This record gives sequence, structure tokens and C-alpha cells, in this order.
Amino acid sequence: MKRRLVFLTLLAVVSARAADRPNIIFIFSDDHAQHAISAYGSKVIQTPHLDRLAREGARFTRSFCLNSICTPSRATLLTGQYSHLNGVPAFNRFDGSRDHVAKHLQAGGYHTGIIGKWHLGSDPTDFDRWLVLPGQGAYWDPAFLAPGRTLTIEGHCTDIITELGLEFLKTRPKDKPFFLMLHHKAPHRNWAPAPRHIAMFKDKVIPEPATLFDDYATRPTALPANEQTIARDLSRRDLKLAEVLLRGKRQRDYVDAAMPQFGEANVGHLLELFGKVDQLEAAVFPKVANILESKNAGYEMIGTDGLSCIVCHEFNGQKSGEMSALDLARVTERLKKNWFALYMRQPSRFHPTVIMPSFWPDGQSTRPAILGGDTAQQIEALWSYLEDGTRAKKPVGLSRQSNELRVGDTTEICRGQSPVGYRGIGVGYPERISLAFDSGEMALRQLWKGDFASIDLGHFQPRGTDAISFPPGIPFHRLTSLEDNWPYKGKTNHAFPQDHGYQFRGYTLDAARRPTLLYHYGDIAVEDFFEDARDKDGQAYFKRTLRFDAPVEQSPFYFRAAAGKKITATDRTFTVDKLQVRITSDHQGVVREGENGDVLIPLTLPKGRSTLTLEYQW
Amino acid sequence: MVNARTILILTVLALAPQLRAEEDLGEMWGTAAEEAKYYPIVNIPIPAAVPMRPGGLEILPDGRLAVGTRRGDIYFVKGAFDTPPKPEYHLFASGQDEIFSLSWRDGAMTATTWGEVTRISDTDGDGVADRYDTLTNNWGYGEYHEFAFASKHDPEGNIWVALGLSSSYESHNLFRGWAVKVTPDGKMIPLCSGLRSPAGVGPNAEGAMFAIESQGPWNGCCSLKHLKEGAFLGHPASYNWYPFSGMKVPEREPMSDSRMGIEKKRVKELVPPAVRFPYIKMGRSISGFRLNKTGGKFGPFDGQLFLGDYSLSIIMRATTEQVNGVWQGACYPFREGLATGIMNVEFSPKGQLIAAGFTTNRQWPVRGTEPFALQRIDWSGVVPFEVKEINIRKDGFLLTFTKPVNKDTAARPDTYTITTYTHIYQGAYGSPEVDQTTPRITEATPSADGLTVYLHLDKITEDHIHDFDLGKVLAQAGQHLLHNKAYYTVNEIPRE
Repeated sequence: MKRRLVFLTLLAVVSARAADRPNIIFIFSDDHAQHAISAYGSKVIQTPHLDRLAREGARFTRSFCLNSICTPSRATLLTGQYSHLNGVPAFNRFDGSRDHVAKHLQAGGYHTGIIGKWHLGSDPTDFDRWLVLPGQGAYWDPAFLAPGRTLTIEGHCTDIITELGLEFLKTRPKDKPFFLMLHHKAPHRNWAPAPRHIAMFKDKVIPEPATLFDDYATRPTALPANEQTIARDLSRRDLKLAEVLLRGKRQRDYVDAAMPQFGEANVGHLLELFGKVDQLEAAVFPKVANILESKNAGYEMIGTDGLSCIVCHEFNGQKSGEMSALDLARVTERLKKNWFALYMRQPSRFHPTVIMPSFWPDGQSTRPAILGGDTAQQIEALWSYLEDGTRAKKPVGLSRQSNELRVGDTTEICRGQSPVGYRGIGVGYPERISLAFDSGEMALRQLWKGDFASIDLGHFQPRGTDAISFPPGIPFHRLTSLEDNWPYKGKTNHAFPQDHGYQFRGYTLDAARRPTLLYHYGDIAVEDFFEDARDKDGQAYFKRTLRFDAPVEQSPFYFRAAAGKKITATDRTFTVDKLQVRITSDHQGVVREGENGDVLIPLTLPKGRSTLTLEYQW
Repeated sequence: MVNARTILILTVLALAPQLRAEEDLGEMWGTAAEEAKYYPIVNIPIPAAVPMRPGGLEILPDGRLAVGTRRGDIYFVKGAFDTPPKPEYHLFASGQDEIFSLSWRDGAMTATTWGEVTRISDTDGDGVADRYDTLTNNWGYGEYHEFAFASKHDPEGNIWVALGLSSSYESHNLFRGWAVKVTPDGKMIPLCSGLRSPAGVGPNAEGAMFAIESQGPWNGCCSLKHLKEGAFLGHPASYNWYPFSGMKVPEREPMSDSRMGIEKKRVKELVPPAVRFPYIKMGRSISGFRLNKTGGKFGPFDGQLFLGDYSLSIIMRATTEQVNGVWQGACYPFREGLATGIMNVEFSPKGQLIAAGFTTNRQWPVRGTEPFALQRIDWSGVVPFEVKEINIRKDGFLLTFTKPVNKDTAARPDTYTITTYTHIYQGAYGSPEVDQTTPRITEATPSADGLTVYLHLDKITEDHIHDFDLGKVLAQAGQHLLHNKAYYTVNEIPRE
């Protein structure tokens, strides 16, 4: 049995002007599970407009509702009080003479409105305009209560509420700030979608949740007493799940489960319109003569040698102080530049109780030594530095506490126990590609894209996506015959790979902190360098340069460039599953097919220096 | 009645693990308040942005403190030795495996991690390392608990590394349970077998190299072991690597349920621990140690070893002497009440003792409650009344004190109590103290200056710890000793 979650999702939008009296739209959706919003991780339901609100605004991750059920929940929203204080502990009447949010805002000069689900027993008070559903309301052709009358509007309830909201925005008095509570009935039971959404998930396989047959053994004792369960309470008209669970029918009819998705579509145009209702004045942006100088000044100001922004703000997920205000590496993604420029000059203008101080009081910089003390240049410098986002140079004083090792503008390294062995070396490059190398066997063992690695004491774990694995084993060997197996350590060969002439010798770092791995194969000194690059389509890939220094001419041996079951070769490009290895120096590869197939590059090294170059793309 | 009894039993069972854990850490010496008068503990603050789990410590030529961390970073810390400390942390190197040992020489930092010895240098002079030369990674590393702890550079520039067993009991990977020497050009020379779970490695005042060993199988308690080339140091799990070492396999293996004194005569390679530290009384997981070469800046204990203990958050002293060609010596309480599990210690140029470490949420209980700390023990300049050192004589012991003793009490044999005991040398974990004896003190002779007392015993027992209770000894000025206890491990009795 599965308990039904009764969960409200609350979305508040504060207007871009947000001067001393911001415009407010409060969008409410009834019985909306958090996990039915993709910004909160839903894999089934995609909510791009809600996600945009989350991305460009704030996403609450530690919020709690005072009461999670229907009528009592809306009373807590209006009053900000627990149910035992606001007089609505059950489905009883709300006393409109009580203190509530609209009363205060109306008194403060706001034009107030409530449209949609109300279900509080009494008529709304202190709203300049109200149009509410009687009781639960109907999904189709709903009736609405307005002051002194009832009207019925044809169509689907969610579409109608949205239209009424748009109308409110268009017809409101323009000389006042406004406060609109836009309360959707959806996705409350009994889940009747608009026709255009009915077949939305027809072809989609939705996996059963892991907790579907939870026996509550590990749950709080109150939960088994929950009266609403899928098996007992949901009707055929609801989800038809009772038939699946109790009568063994296999296929669940998902048509009626499309509710949370269709409510989403009604948010998009509202956002557009809301963005137009009020405008800030245009900031004046200075001309930047030297962009590098500007970025560097921004870098100086963000760190603890400057304005110490990172003490309150996160930077690329790293928290350096007690607070975790807006991640600075995402500022230019989340804020509009005009707003940023005005806000920086006087944060208190946008929120009277803001904690952030003004570093440019009355337009005068508190740091006269930076960029000649020019306020506009300094604010521009912050923006241009932060525009590098997660690739910005890590500011001075940034915390290193996080167990997620993130790559900024230079390469990061971690070593230790890992999926590629106890002597793993993980290297994360600024182009957002990474590799793992086994310094025990001098072997490239893994490539991946995206996030670099989680680290713990003496351990690391690759993150990211699109991982390509290489088998363990040494890179070079003098095979006597192409029929022979490539050597491997096995359980008893304790001296491997030193018994094959190998010795790891460490690495050096270049200016971008990219390592050149150093090792010996017999008397050959090997320098193994990986460089992150981008192709013309913007895809990141690795260039690898193996430099050999041999004191004498070498008898032929092989380099194993890749391995896998199915290898295809085109000229000097070898494809193994999703990986392409290209030889870019004057060498040829040999493919050995079969279960333990591999790509071998025969090498005959002259005395002195020689080079093998490759590219890895996946 | 039955029910009541059942409940009682259940209650006792429920309490048992907790009682056990408390027993494991034992009782404190109870001397912390008095110790603080002579050796105050100073905390060196760590900024919130610095992930500091100190493992290795070193002093740079410019006087800064270097700290290697479990995160694999090396920080250079300026101002750590100021009073009060005004530390500024500079990140010199990063991205390594867990660092438990650091040593600076010839413009580079040598760090020893689980898997290798790495020489780390800054070649372009920007203050940040850009070259990580692996001197060796030729020992086996592929299991949990395969720790590697290393010495500072010896006079020839070698790093001595003590390699813990696999999963703490066996030896599955090459040279686990051995000590090896790594030369400046990266050659790894196997030295001796028989270690269990060694921690700190370092020389005594005479330059002989030692490692700290942990209690466990074949080790009745923690001990200081002499890393004598060609020696077998007690735990036979590492015999299987002799074929890789260029050394001959010892003809015999030790027998379990025996005594070290018996087995060292059977297995000629077996070198007994130089100083044994009775369990809990003197440490539970002794970690890093360091020779005091401060020239008196740290008080009256020059030339002695100072050892940190992880579980008990204490610092102890040890002295060593060579008798009949074998190292042995004594250990003494020094300072308790540190903030965290002590992993390593180091002397500052000002003669302060840096003690640093961390706690873990794994199985090891620790007295100190801080998750990590960097602390300093300063000498107040006032000499405590302590037994400074105990040396063995043919027929007794010479006790040296830091201040003149009251000769009347010092001359009375009943002022002193000595008991002796040893451990079962066995493959099972640890050992109770066994074979107790109580030697009679036949004569106590203070020197003219009152700084030494010669105790004549009716019998010294070889292979036994001689446990001294000096609670009745008084200083000339009348006060009692700061610490009453000392423990001397007798491997050999001088012939003359």
C-alpha cells in the first residue's frame, strides 16, 4: 500500500522592479507533490516554466508547510499562523475579520486580488477583486463566486483561472503596486485534464515508485494510520490502481495522471506578461578599455582580499562562511545585468532589510585603489569576472571544505583509492572533461564529461556523465606474437609492473596546472601529456602526446591505445563503443578482434626523442 | 522473579558495550592541571575555509610550519609559533593521497602517502608546487589499513618507510609489514620484516632509526622498535616477501604463546622492541614521535623522544640506551588533555612542541573531542620535578631527576616500588601482563648533588617491563613528582 502525499507547492514571484513595494503574484496549485515538478527532481513530469522560476529566482529546499491539507492549508497561507491559532484546524469557516496578508497589503496601498480556489467557507475580505470557486469547484465549465453574484465560465478550470489572472494584470489600476493570489484547483483530485493533455503520457512507461509496496516497518507510527491509500481510497475514476493492486491487472491507465503537467503550461505566458508590467530605469554601463584588467579587478573584489563577497555568498557550490547567499558563479545566469548594476549601487532600495551592505554609498567606491575608484567600472568588473561563471578563477579565500572537487579555470587533481585502483590519479580539466590514470600500472583508465569528482580522505569518485573505461594494464609491451595476451597483474604477480621494466616517476604541472605524467619503460623515459581541447562543434576532447626519450635505439614494441569487444577502424581512427581514438602522428594502428580485442600501435623508437600523438573523443 | 532477573540481565547487557568503551580509553593520569603550570597547551586557530586534518608536520628553513593533511594538501603556516599564534595559511601543494609524513630537504618537500614517496617542489618560484617526483611507489598497496609512515631524511638523504600489514592482520601485498629505505635517487631498499601496524618513524639521539608499533597480534602492547637492517621485528605475516628482498628467509618462525625472551633466542633475526608502552597506562595507539633537539628550549628533556597517542590524546616521553648491542629504554608520562587524536608531533624553532591530529567517525574512540586540531605545547620556563631518565646498571637502575631530591627519603629503599611483568608473545591480539615479580630494592644511593639515585635490586628480570612507582620521592624543596610512573623495558642486563 502506498500512502497518498498531500503536498502543496507554493510559488511566489516578486516583480523585477521590487523597489520598496514590489509587485507580488502568488501562484498556488492544490495538492501538488514536490516530486511532480522537474525543478525538484521529477523524472516523469517536465515543468520548464516552473523550472525557470526556480532557476532565475529562488528554489526553496528547506521550507515546511504549516498544514498540508486543503482548507486548513489556505488559512495558514493567508494568516501565516498555525491552524490552532488561525481558527481553521479542520474544514471550517475562516473568519475574514482576522489578520491576514491581503488586509495588510491593501492597507499599505496595494491593489489586491484572489482568483481561483478558495474553499474557506466565508467570502474573501480585503481583496479589491475576487473571483473564487465555490467549495472544491468544478474542472469543467466552473462556476465562480464574485461579490454579490455567481457566474459560470465555459472551459477548463485551469485555463480559465489563468485567463482571469491575465485579465487582472491588464485591468489593474496602474498607479498602485499589486498583490494577486492566483489559486489553481489543479492538480487536486479528481484529475480531469484538458483535452490537449489527456494523452500526454500515453506512450510513456512510468516506473512504479520503489515504495509502492512499503510495509511501513521503518516509518513513523502515524503513517500506517493514514486514511487515504491507493488501494483503499482511490476510485476507478481516480487512478484505477486498486485494480492493479487488488485484482492483479497489470497495466495502469496513466491518462488521468497527467494533471500536474498540464497546470504547468498555464504559467508561461503569465511570466512574460508579468515581466512587462513594470520596468526599471536603464543603468549606464561604462566602456571597458581592457577586459582582462576589468576581470582581474572583479576577481580581486570578490575574494577575501577585496570586498569578501564569498564570506556570505557561495562560489561555485563552495560555502566559505556561515551563510550561503546566491552562488556568485551563477549571478550572470540568474540576474539581469541592468538590475545587477542598479542593485549593487544601493541594495536597500530593493529590500529595506537587506543584509548586503552597499560598497558604493552615494555612488562613491569604498575601494579607491581598484580601477581608479570608478564606481561604474568596478561594478562592470564584477559582472565581467562573474560572467566566466564556473570557469572563473577561484577567488582568494575560497573554502576548500567541500567534498565535491570542482574545476575552475585551471586543472584539478586528486589521488588515492578510486574505481581505477588504490593509486588512482584523477585529473579534471577546465573544458569539463576528466580522466583517471592508474599510477600503479601507468594506465589511462577512465574518461568522463561534466562534473569532476567527489573526494574524501584518500579516496575519489568520478562524477559527471559519459564515462569511458579502459581495462587495467600496462601501456607498452614487447609482444612476441600478436596471438599473445596483453600482460596483466593477476593475483600472484606481486612485482608487476616493475618486473616489466616500469617505474612511475610522478608529474609536472604547466601554467594551467595540467599534469605531464612521467614514467619509465625500461630505459625509455616517457612524458605523457593530456590537453583538453574543443572541436569546431564545441565538443570537448583530449589530445594526448607521448614523448619518448630513449638512450639507445629500441627494439619494436606495442602501445595499447584502446581495448574492447567490437572495434571498427577507418584509416587511423578507431571506434570502440562510444569512444573514438585517432592517431595524429605518423603511426599506424593494428586492431586485434575478439572478446579481449584491442588497438595496438607498433613503435620502433630511435635513439633520442620521438613522439606519438593521439586524440580521444567520445 | 524470573522476569525481574531477566530485566536485570538485559540492563547489564545493554550497558556492557558502553562500559567497555570507557574502559578502552582507561582513566586519565589526573595530572593535566599540574602539567599546565609547566607546559601550557596553546591552540593554533584553523580558518573555516581550510580542510585541515593534519597528518604530517615539518619546519621549513624560513621558520614556517608545514602541515600535510589527509585531504592531500600541504599548507605552509606563518605565525604558528607566535604568542598568541597568528597563523596565515598558504596552500603549497594539493591533490595528493593522505599525507602522514613530511620532510624538507634541498629545496623540496618529501611527502609520504599510502602509496608512494613524493618529492614536491616549486620550480618556478611562485610559491606553489608544480613538480611531483615520485621517488618510489614500488611497495604493494591495494587494501584498507595498508598505512605508510616515514621518517625525515636521514643524514644520507634516505627516507625510511614503515609499511603496515594488509587489513591490519595479514600481508597480501608486496612488503606489507616491512620497513624500507628510499634513497634520494628513488631506489627502494627493503630493511627488515615483522612489523604489524607501525606509525611514526624516526631516529633517537644516537641516530638509530625506530618505528612505533601498535598493539595487536604478536604485540602485547605498543612499542618502539629498532629498524635494524636484516631484523625480524616480531609479526611473521610478512615472511612471504623475503624472496623479493634479496635477503635470506629466517630459518625459524616464532612460536605463539611464548615469550619474547624465549623466541629471540630461537629466531636469531628477532629483535625485541626497545621500549614497551604498557597498554592504556602509556598509550593505546601511539602515532608520531620526534627527538627533542631544542637545546633546552623545551625544558630539561633534551635528547629524548616525544610521542603522541591517537586514542588518549596524550604526549609521552621515551629514552633509549644500547645494552649488549641491543636498544632498550624507558617511557614516562608527559602531558595529557590535548584536544584531539594526536597523529604527529614536531618541534618548532622556538622549542615548542607542535601536536596535531584529528578524530574519525570510524571505530577508533578518542579522548580529545575536537574533529581536528593544531596545538602547541609551550614550556613555561619553570622546570617540573620529574624523573628525567632511567638507565640500567648491572645490578639495578640509575634514576636521574630534573631537580635535586630530598636525600633522606631518597636514600630509603621503601621509598620506591618496582614491579615487573611481561607479555605473552602470541598470534592472538594483544596480551595481558603476565609473570609478575616484585624485586627487592636492597639499597638506594642518592648522588652528592641529589640529581641521581642508584637503586640496587636483588634481581633484574630480562624480557620484563620494570614498572616504577615513585610516588614517595620528594624534591629537596619538598614537592612531589609531577608524574610518579616510569616503565623500563629490560631486553639485556649489562655485563659490567
